[in-house]
Amino acid sequence: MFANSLDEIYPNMYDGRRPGEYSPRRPGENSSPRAGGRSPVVSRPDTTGTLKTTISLRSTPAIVHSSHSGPFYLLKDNIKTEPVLTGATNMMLHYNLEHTFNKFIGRKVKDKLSAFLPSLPGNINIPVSADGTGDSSLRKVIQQPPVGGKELTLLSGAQLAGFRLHPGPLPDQYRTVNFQALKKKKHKKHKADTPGNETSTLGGGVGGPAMITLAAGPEGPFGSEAEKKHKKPKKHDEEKKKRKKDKKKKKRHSPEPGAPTTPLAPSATSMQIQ
Amino acid sequence: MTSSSPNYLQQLEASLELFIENVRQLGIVVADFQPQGQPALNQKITTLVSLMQDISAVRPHVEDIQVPLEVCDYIDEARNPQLYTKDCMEKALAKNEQVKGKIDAYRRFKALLLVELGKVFPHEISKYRAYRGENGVATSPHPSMQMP
Repeated sequence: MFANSLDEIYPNMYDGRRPGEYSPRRPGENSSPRAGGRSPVVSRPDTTGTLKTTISLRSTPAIVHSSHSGPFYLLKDNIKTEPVLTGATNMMLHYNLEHTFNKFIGRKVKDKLSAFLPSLPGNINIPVSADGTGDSSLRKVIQQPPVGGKELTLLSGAQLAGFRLHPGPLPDQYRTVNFQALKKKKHKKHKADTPGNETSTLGGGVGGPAMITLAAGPEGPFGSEAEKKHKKPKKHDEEKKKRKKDKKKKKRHSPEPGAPTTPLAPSATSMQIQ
Repeated sequence: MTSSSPNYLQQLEASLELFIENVRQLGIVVADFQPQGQPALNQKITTLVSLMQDISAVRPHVEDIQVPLEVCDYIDEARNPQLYTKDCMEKALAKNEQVKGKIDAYRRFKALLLVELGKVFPHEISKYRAYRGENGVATSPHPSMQMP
């Protein structure tokens, strides 16, 4: 590490020569490095007591020290004084990403795609694997880009005649999953719209129709229990209504208005229902 | 990403949303087609073509936007792409902390090494400290330390 000890460590380093034996560069000598020539760096005047090293590539290659008064060698001269951006600095603060960091790390980000694109219509929470087609992935669009570069022009009336379709529903094989999901949703909606069952729609109705089918998956057992709980009072309500109707009918048809019909009425209605 | 104007991005977003909505409506019309729905079908097709023209017109203004391919995987799996951003930030934070730990360890090692070297080579280390500064950063090059 230290130049003073070089003589002790490498006694044959100078190959019989001592530092400073090389003559300074002659005037007019080309400064470009040549085979066997001296490095132009060595020709600087030695006024600062610097360590000068020359590598000789002649018949016997050797490292020649012209002078070594300093305690260090291999110390780079061009030390960067400007602070370098390293991992020691907080990158979030450096790039002003604190707000984004708190936004994503502090809060819980919803997993569904519809949470990111709430304005998109239809059910977009279907992965490509469950899409049915399997070809509608974005990655495939990038890997196999569609034919493009042609000018887009509006279709004329004659061209639009080619899109005349036969009336009637599409065959099942051409129906996509989306339409099936839509049908299911509509069916559920009818159930939900029945009077007395409005609270059961809250689970799937908050996220709009697109959330219903997917929300039914994980919440399946709990959702069904909730529906059962709500259905029970619904039956009671219907029974009560029927009882009231029966009472009214009996009141109308009974010849004796003051007859004690109230204790018998429940049993009569229950018999009718059964 | 910075050179593209947000107006073009909003325009592209609106065109894409309209396009998707029209495709959905077209699918509903086609799924159970009625003869009286032919004019509506033709209108939908015309609207789709005009929306594609709009998207194509916006295209040169948003070509410099770079999207990571991994985001496409998130969308294909019907996952929120913000989760990708979240994952990236978590990874960046973890890596930042890891690198900071390494740098701190090396700093402690350097300080310890200088202390120990100062015990063995006090003169040289004092010169070294004067040249490199206490933090190891050169303040002003010492004339006796300059390399040719």
